[in-house]
Amino acid sequence: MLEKEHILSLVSNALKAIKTENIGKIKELSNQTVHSASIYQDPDNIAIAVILYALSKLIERRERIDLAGWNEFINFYVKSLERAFIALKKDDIELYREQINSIESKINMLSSNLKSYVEDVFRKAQINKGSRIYEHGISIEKTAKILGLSVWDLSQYIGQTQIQDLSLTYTKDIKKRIEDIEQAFN
Amino acid sequence: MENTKKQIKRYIIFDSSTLINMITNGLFDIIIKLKKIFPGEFLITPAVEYETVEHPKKIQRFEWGALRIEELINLGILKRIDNIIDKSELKRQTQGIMRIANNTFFSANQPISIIEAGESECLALSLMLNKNGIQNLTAIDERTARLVIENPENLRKLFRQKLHTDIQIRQNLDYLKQIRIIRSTELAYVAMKKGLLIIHDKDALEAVLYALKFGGASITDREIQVTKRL
Repeated sequence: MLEKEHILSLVSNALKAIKTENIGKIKELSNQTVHSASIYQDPDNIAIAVILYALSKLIERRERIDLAGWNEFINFYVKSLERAFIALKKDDIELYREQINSIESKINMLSSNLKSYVEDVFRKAQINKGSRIYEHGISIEKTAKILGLSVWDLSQYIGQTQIQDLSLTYTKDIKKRIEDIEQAFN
Repeated sequence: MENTKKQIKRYIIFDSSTLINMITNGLFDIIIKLKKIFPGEFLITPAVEYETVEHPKKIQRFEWGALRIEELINLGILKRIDNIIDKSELKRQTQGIMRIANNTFFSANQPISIIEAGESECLALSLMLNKNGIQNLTAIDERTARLVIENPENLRKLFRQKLHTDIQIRQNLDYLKQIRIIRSTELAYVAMKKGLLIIHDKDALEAVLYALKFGGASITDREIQVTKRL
């Protein structure tokens, strides 16, 4: 773990935001990890970013979703975060990771409808974090590897954002590029 | 004259970002048609094949796309590099590129790891072909690898802007500048000019360029407008 203090502060603030169901704050905390995730690419940092973003989405949809086991799952999710926080405070990184991983294990035990719903939320959270890391300048393949995604997952999402329109991405006269390809085909 | 042209060895190396974008935009037939009029070969490297075929074949939502790319390989439209280049040498060169590129941009004393095997393999293959005097273009839709090759200073500025911290460049990447990059959008442009796109609407070119942009091709609106007028 490269950034213990940062993760501690993140989880601590997230737990406060969860109590007041401040979804915007949870998302903001999740985004705070993107800068350091782009530089250090620390799996613990990336995992907590995804966990917090997914949680913000799950709480956001709480009222709209009528699936058996929903509330129990959210309670388990928050309890795991609390236990992870205590473990990290005691410098027990192994137990911290166990608690974080327990959320994933719990998903596998959910009923099939809830499981596929939650898995989808998690996949979208990963893609969201991935697109932010790509936006910061990391290649699509590298980003996919960091997040454990496929390049296919990211390609379509990235195209829907404004990332490609930054003037810094313009590197060569388009006429010259067209000339290169026309020559190759002649 | 035509025979002489056909004998010139030339290649287009496909990165996964370009293949995925063209396939998801329904340009499977266009790739085949482009290959038929191209006086050379379209190449796929082992790491790109893994990313675009082997791995996604195991994921339901991408399996159909992966099968279409596999079909392009089976049809001989995309050629593996086996008989073209020494694979062990390519592996060595790829590792060299990854090592250099991933130790170029530093935030404080931390190197930022920016590219992976598939992208690096395409660049290594292009450099090896160049060394043997063989004409080639590399088709890459994603932004970072293209910036590394054509304008690393812009990538440094992008990092600085996004990470709000000073970024240093500690390697000279000039040797990569010899790699000539195209994107799916340029391939679509050629397809249109050669009459391979069967949509005859006056806005077809603009439509296909935007479809590819929204599919992940790193191209600006301004570039699309210029391309349209060419």
